[in-house]
Amino acid sequence: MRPAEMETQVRDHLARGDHREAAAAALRGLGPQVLGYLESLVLDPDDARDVFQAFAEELWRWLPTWRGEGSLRAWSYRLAWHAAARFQRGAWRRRRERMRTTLASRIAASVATESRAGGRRDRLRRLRQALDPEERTLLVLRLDRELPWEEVALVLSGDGAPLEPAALRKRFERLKGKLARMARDQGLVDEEG
Amino acid sequence: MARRSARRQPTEAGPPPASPGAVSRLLDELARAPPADLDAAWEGVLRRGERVGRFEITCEVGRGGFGLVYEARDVELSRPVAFKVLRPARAGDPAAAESLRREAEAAGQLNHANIVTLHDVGTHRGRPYLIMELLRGETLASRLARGPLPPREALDVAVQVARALAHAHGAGVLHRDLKPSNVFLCRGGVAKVLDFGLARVLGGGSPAGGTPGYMAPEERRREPASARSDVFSAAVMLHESLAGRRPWPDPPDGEPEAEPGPPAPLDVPGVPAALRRLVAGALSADPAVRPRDGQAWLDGLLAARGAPGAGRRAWLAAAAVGAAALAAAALLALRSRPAAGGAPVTVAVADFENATDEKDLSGLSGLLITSLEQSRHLRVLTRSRMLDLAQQAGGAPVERIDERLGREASRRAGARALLLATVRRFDRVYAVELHAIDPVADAYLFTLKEQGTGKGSIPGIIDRLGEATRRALREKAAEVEAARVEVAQAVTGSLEAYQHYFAGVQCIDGLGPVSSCVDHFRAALRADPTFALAHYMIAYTSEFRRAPPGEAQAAIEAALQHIGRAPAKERELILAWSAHVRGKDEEAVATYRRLLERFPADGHAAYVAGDLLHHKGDFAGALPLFERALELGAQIPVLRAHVVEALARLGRAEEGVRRARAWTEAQPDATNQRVLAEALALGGQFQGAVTAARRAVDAGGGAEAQLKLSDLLALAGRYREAEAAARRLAGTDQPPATREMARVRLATALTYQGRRREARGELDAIRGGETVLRGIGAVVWLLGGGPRAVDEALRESERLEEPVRRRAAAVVGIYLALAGQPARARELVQRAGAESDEGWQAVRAFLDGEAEKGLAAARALEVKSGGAPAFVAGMLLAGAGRDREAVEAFRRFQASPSEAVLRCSCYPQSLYHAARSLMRLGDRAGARAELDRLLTAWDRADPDLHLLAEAKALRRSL
Repeated sequence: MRPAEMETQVRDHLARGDHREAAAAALRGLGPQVLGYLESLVLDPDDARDVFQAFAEELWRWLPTWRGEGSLRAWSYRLAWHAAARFQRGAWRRRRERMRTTLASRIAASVATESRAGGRRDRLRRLRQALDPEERTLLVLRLDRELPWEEVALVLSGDGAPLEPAALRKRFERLKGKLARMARDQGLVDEEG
Repeated sequence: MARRSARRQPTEAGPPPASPGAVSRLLDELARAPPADLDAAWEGVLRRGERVGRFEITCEVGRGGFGLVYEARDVELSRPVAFKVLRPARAGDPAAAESLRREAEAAGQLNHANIVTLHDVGTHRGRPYLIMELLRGETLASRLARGPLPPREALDVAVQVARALAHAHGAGVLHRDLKPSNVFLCRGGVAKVLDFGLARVLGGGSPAGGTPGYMAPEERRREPASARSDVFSAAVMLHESLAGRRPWPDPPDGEPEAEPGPPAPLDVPGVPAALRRLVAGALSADPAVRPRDGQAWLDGLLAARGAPGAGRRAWLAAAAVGAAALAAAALLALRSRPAAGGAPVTVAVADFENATDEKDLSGLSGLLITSLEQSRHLRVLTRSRMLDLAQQAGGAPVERIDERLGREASRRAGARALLLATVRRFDRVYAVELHAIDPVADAYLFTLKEQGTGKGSIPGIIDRLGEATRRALREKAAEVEAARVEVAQAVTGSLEAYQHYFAGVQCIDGLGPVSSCVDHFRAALRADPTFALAHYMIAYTSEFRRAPPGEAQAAIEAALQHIGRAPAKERELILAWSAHVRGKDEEAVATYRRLLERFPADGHAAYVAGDLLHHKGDFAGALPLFERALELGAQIPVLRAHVVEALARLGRAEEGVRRARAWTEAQPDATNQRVLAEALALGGQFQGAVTAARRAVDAGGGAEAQLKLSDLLALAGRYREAEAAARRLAGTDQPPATREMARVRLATALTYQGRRREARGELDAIRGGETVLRGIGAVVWLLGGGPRAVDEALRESERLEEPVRRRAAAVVGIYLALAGQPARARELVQRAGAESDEGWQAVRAFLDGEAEKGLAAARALEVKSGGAPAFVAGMLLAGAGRDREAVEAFRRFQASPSEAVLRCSCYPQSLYHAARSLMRLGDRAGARAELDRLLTAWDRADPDLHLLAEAKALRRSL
């Protein structure tokens, strides 16, 4: 089913007050996409499943409050992003993540212990690990999922002032520059290109 | 396609990559997140038919935060059971496994019809599992998804949950994660509480989880949970069951705030008021206000269900039982508590029992508190905090904290230890015996004894007891050594001085007249002139009595001179007050904030800091400090009134009304009714305010409530009633101070009616002719008499002390400017050195032709200090022919409760001048209405009253 059709179906269910069917349709339609995104965001597949289950519960619960102003897709990614953030803040999770909480320590770890060893897939994995969750979200949603800048900004906005799409674009460009440098260090691209 | 074109877009900024093509490909690879197989996400641990020991898996029935639940069959006993197992992703997590182990441990202790039964515990493929009673039905969460429960049903479920909690709390087990998905509604109407998944034996450490929407504020702050935290969660569930929504909205994408505002009112038809009050109390941010535990909550619910109004009694009765059941857990809790480095241990100290006949040994608890306060491992409740808590428990002000009150107060504060001590004398030997008990569990902890020869040995005895207590409460010896104090050095070596000081503090805490309390501090200084704290108290109290000028300055300087003799906390207090006396309130507030960081339970420091800002008009700064003081339970009579005033000045009068209503619903006593009256008046709802004030009088609010009622009747334009109320109070056998205040009210009620002569008589009668209507009030009142009174007002202003004299001169200047004598006004203000007065500056800008600047300044003042500047703005605008704006300003003034002595003179004038403006605008009906109101109020006015003839003439012309 195409995304637009799925969204229409969800709206119809909601309009009829059938929240269960609406949530089921949304999860059927968007679930695989969101889970894929979560897997690339939280990196550990088991953790991703936990977050996805939390996301599914949230969607179930809050879908009736979706006012249909933005796209259901962006709204769902936003729920997933916040579910992942809550998961990362969780007490037991923090214990495990204690050594990996700062970008600096992650980069240091990947540079110091793994240098240029390992195959291309390993090096890509390390590169992905060296990104912070917002950067991973930015990459996946913008490049792979092709969300418009406004929707990416909506997903990543906290509770305060919404993010400006223009600021996000700048950030994206900086991220590209940083990745280029890191990729060179990892030997993923040649010095000359 | 969009995808391709997006990839080919050239970079717009940032350093050029080594090769755009290679980096773009890399980005694509990094960004690739193919859709995932949903089945994987839902994959279970066990499959149908799989055998685990004697249990055979039938099907998966649910998932919780910590595990999966299957229905299984116990093949030996041939009964269905629930089989709960850790998820694969969590199985390797030691914390989760530990949590499950604890669940088993805790739940294994519980055997109750409203708690799910645990049959067995084991491990399978390295994963722990629990075998529990299998329930048929649905969770409360799924039931609530279809809408709220009928009140009777909701209450029934709540009662069953409360029974479960009462049982668990009685066994020393907390739930810590009570929420609708953890309450199962079985077929047949029985409710069972599930998932004591976070429960530990009381005191096991900090919480690791909980569900934000149901967590008590202290848990969200990661402070230790108590039985009261479970009561909070149970109350949230009951609110949700009744109203269909939780008392605080839960944002879909964030955690709820750690400091939620007041809960949404429980406006559900059919819910008795007693139940609403009970729920509001249980939802209080201050744990001390909530029912103490599951039993107290259950008693409250039963009372609310049975006889309306009986709730409170049952609640108090419940406070006496229940605690004993926790005895076993208490020692365990204290012993298992982490040593220094963990959360501070809250300790309370009751007043010492003095078994000698020497009066100067009565204040020793204060010295012990000082000694203990040096510890960073302990959080020692101040004596004022103990008095506050004792008062909350008993409702009446308390003078001495004996053992009974000490237990009640320390229980309310959740203290882990209460110290009870007795001082005895045998010939020349003085001995202090100290018992420590756990006030919550009513369990004995330890006993210490110290003795010495001669009275001079007592400060040393206190030092030794303080250190031994700290060690007994598991503070490391090195830390005790590093942060110790000798009270003789840090406070005073003279017990006589200390006894006087302590009596003074007791006097102030007991709300005795401040001027007589100060005598105790003077006596203390006679015994020890270097006693810094006594100097400080004289300086501190100087603002609350009519101290001679310069006294505060001298006293605070003396305190500073001996500041080395003050302990850490008091040093900060002295520095803060010294800054205030020097007019540096920002510095004072910063010092109080520092103090609060180190001694976070000091609600009075939070209040004083807020109060300084409040009186400077910094309501935004004051409010959070007041909230903090409220949260710490500071029983300062004006605190709640300050909160609603600050809210109103910040343009949030309605919120003030809501808060005040919530307080009143939780506890409909006279103080709260008076605060509600105040809030309504600040919101311009004068008639509603009168009703609330009457309730305050009916609730036994005494003279203060009657004075307030008189004020509000006048605000509501019911002058005769205001006059009668004040007259009743002025003629009773009240203390002279009350009668004087009643006479002032009488005078204002008469002034509103234009009966200034009678009003003057009342004022002059007070204290044999010397008016108590002093300062600005007197000047404004006199000016209300019209131009003839200017000279007298000036003479009155000359009698005042700085800086009030300058303020008064500015007021006369403003009056003259409004009365069309700008030159005289300027000259007078200049001569008095009052040009920086904010009110005058607004008027002067207007006189200088900068009307907008002046009006803006007046408006800012109006926000800061209430309605009177609106009257001035109205007069200026009317004088400038800007009648429409003038009428608006007058209306603002009329709708706001400015100080009575100002308002009673200005209000009638505002009616007259508004009528003139309306007439010029062609609104003759509006003008007539204003004048009719004025002339009705003035129907018995003095015949020669200023403006009376003009008002009558104007009315005739209309």
